Amino acid sequence: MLADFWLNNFHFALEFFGAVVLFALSWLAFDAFLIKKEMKTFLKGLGFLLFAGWNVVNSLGVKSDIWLTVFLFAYLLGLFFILLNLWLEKPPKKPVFEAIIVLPAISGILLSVHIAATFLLALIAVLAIKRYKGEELKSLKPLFLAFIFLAISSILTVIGLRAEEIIPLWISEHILKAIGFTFLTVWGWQHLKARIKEEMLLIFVGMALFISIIVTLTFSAILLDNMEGEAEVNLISNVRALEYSFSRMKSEALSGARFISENKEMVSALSENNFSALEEVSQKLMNEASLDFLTIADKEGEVVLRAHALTVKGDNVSQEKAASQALAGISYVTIEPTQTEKLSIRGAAPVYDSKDNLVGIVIGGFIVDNAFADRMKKITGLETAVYKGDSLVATTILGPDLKTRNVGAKQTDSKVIEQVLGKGEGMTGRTTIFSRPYLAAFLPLKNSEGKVIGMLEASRLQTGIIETANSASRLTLLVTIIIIIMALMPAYLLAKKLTEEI
Amino acid sequence: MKRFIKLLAIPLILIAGTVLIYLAVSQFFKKEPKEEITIGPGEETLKEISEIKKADYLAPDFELLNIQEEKVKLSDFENKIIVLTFWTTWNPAAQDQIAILESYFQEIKESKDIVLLTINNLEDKSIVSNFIKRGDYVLKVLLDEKGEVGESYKISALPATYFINQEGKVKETYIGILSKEEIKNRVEGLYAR
Repeated sequence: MLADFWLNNFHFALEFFGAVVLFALSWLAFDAFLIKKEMKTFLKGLGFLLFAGWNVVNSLGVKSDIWLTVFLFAYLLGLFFILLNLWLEKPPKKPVFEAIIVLPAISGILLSVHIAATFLLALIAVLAIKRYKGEELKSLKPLFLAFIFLAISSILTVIGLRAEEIIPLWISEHILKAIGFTFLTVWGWQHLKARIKEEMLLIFVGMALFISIIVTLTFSAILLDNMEGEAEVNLISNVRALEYSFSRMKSEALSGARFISENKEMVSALSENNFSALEEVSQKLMNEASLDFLTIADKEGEVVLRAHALTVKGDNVSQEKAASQALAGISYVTIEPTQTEKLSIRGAAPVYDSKDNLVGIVIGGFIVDNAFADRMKKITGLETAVYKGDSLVATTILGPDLKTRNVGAKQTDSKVIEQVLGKGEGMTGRTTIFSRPYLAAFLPLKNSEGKVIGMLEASRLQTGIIETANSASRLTLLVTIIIIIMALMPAYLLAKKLTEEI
Repeated sequence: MKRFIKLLAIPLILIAGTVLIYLAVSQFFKKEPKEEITIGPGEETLKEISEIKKADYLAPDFELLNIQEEKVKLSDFENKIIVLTFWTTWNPAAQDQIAILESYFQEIKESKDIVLLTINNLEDKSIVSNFIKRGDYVLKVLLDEKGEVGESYKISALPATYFINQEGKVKETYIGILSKEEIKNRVEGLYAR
């Protein structure tokens, strides 16, 4: 999660750095325009300004289609102006390239705009190289290098729009962009050599921005880390609540089974093999004890009746742990998976007739299924999941189709399997479910013999936290920038005064 | 000529460098373990049937008991949009549909125009109320223990959902499971008509 945060904010910082450099360049060009009043210098200033505008929009991650389109075109226009400026400064003898921009109307617009931008960036680089070669203008070297890097980075952007594995591509793209902007800074710096006033101002602004970005991001990262730690503690206490409700349900299942096994009507109906009476009384008792299911078996363990599923009977349950204990005369409760009720909390009690002969057993308890998980989610507000071994038997998280639940899926995280299922210890950690980041806490689910038979999981979606941290740090930075802009005027006056004194 | 070669060489070196950086970075990221939960078996069986049908007929009225044993009639909800879902507890898709309807219900609780009704098909009250209690669901659940209402709506598979507009007409039927978004869109469509 922290990686997400850093990547995201690296993008922001880089784009903003680029924007500042471009603003500075455009300002320099406008400054020159005021002295020389040349159209081409004005074009250059405008070009860099539009480029800078796009960088600001890009850094803020604007999602609105309208703004994106407007600024993308402004960006293209800006690049075109820079190109025009290079051209006008020293027109090549033969125009080698004709910049024809074909833009389809609706879909794929992003792709073609980026392709056009790449083309323009490359063109600027080529023209700069030509001038550099033709006139031996050493000062142009950083410029064409900058644009070569920007162009390659833009190619990667284009690939990134179509590629599936985005992160490595994205990082390469941003590294190249950073190099490009650095060269652009070097180029801009050359123009400043003789201008102490501007130099001081830029250093002031640059340092202030740099420091504020570092401080804000570090602070947010620490905050995020703390928030995550706190969320983990919360999750642990919630998953413990889940565990607690399991143990409470266990005792309810046991007392329910005992209560039913001692019911006189039930005992007489069972010992007389009176099925219709048994059916009636068992349903009444199941509701009274608020159990999810109630199974009544004879002394051989053959099911006489299932109050919750009347048509399923005749099978033998003596192999089940709780049932076998009850058949041996011991009331017993455990969590175990069975054929009919799947994973369930099962309390079993022996049934004796008036002469103290064992006539059968009752098994009652609670089913652990999606509905159960839904109730837990209502109580804790967290996504809840129960595993039998490593496979999911109940969950509140819907699959990618947003309809069905992924019951039956396996937990594939080897760390979880090893620590929770293997060692029987709880753990917390980040996990990804259907490509979304979750923070999850796991506890082992043990049967009455202390053997781990599954896991309990409580988890919370993390995108909200990252987004909050991002928007908080961005807001801080924007405020910082506004303050810097406001402080620019006094700083300028100070610089002016100082240079005059020199 | 030399100059030309130089001109070609610089971008080529740069592109090669880019590819190297890209490869190095992607290598670095490959090692990160994926913790995706894989799609489990049984997924197909849940999705095998889904069928949308446009319709335009008066919804047959009925009177059923809810799980609190109160009488509920369809005509109690005149001038309201009704989402009517038939379901059973033994069908996992229908169970999931109930959970989805429940979360939709939590969203529209305040709305006076929309009513969500679920009709359990042919199951005993104790089983249904057990399930509803287990999930702590607060939806309106009616019991069609004899299956008569299901018959009058000609349900062919479960879960089946009927969208009834404010004039009491069934405008659309859906067999299979609907996501919350899909239900929402259809309900909004009923408003527009």
